[in-house]
Amino acid sequence: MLEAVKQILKSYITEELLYNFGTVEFDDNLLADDMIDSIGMMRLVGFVEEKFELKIPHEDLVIENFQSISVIAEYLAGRNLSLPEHVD
Amino acid sequence: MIYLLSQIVDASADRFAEREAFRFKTESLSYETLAIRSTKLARVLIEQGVNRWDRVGIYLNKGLELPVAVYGVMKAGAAYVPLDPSTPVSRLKFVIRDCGIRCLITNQKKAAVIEKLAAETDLECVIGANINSESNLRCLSWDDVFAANDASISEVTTVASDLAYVMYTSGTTGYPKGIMHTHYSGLSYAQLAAKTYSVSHQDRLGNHSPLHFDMSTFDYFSGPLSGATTVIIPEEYTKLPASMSKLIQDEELSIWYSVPFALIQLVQRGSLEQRDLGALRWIMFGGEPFPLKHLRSLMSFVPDARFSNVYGPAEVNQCTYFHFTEGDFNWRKPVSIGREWKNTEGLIINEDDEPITNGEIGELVIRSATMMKGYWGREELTERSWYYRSTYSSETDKFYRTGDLVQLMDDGNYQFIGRKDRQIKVRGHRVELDEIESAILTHDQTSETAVFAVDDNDGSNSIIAAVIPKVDQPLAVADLINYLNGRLPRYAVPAELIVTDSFPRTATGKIDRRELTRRTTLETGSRQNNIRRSEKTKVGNVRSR
Repeated sequence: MLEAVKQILKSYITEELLYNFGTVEFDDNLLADDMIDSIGMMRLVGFVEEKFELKIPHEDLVIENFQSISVIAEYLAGRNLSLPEHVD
Repeated sequence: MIYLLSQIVDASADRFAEREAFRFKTESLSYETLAIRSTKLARVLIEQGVNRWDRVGIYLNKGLELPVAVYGVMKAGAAYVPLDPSTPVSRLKFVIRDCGIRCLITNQKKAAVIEKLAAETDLECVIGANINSESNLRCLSWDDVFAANDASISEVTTVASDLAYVMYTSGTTGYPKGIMHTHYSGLSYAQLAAKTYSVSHQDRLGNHSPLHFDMSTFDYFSGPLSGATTVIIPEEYTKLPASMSKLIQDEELSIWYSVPFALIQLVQRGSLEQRDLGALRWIMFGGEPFPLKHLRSLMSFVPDARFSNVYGPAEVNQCTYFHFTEGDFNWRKPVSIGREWKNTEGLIINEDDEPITNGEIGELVIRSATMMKGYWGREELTERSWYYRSTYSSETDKFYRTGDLVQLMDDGNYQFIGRKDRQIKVRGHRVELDEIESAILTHDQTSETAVFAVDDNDGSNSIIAAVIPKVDQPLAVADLINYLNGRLPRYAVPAELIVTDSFPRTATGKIDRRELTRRTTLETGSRQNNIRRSEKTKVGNVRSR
């Protein structure tokens, strides 16, 4: 399941935040200077909340949880995430 | 006596040798180390042929190399030109060519970009990175710079009226323009700001602004002038509010100066109720109006701090301020920009260039010790930006036309009303809508465009571009966005693109932008979903909060 979550995040970031302009790998630092800006990060948070039907508490909006796609997926796994049915 | 910006660090090193001047993550530079390293860099620059009047580019992400670069360049008698590390290569190339940069200070992470730049500019020397280049580029590493035992330079004859730095900002013609500041204007700002906000050696400043953003001069000059510690906030912290609030707490920051956007993020998602921000004694913000509901909320989290609204275009640094004092301002009115600080005179003029004093709305013009020298290589533009007032004999006073419309209120403070032209702010960044239109029209498949701003409901603006494609030329939105990403800074790329086949027109056939804005705002309703770069029809898929 972790793999599926990573793929969903990767597609969203590539298509919606990088606009197919750049590429991103699971372990790339999303917070590096030239990757996603602060507005982009907030959009990513909004997307995650909507897609996985959960609420991310403000105190969890920290570097340790959002450094890379893999890290986000692990954070979500720790939240006992169950994939919505429409996600394959 | 200090009369140059470059003397600041050495003077503070005499008084506070061991004190931390700059911090970044877990590392820091003492005043003594910064003084020595910047002198070593100056020595290397001079050896590499950098002269007085030269412009040296600084192309670095946030880190401890930045203060060394800033002070090293000025000690060599040259002016520093901060280059936005996330701006497209085409724009970097323009700036490097525009002000004739021959030497660039950077680090190895930027090597790939510099390789591209070297091929198409007159770069001769790169400090901090080893570049594979076919041209005769001379490269020195940071280790080379610091290796020398000798930390002295022969006297460089710099005087206060010499150029100290050039900062590029959005220009209406489609290309950025360089604002020139001298040691005199920069130091006047540093001293006035240090005095106005009583900065002392016990203060810890949070440097939120990147170097190419003019607010950084407070952190890089006013802080060191007072012997304070400037904590450079790593970019990743600025993207995750709860991390940023933790940094403010852990670093015990006492002074904060940024655009409202950064503070609004903290209020909305910074988990402030879990933080102890008791060390914060003064919070300043500027660049655009701070929405009152967020300001009020911020004040409740940091009840003991002072708050000030700071106003001033980069051309004059800061020029007015409004200190909030308990109970003396009206929560229903927008935040005032206050009155001029010291060594500054403001006038409000009408459309006929006549001063007005009757409380009507007019353009604010400013003369001040902190005023720029002019725009780099743009004599005509510079001349147009001045307003002259005759004094005695054939003498005149020279004021800078801010382009900002203000009104003098009954309480004696200025109220910011709007712009005379089409300049807007996007999360504190200055953007000329005409520059975006120019960029769009250079794309092969576009015929006409109208770019306008709408309220983003978060205290700032969101940019929308309506585009009419050329006849029989299918225009792919993604292509155009990619194209703009390659030409404009990220914050200036429209959040939304509307492809259409006609525009509302005025009786004279001009695009009716006001009507276009009205229609777009109506169509999208409350615009909660407008932060996305995509075709109009897709808006609503993403929740941005």
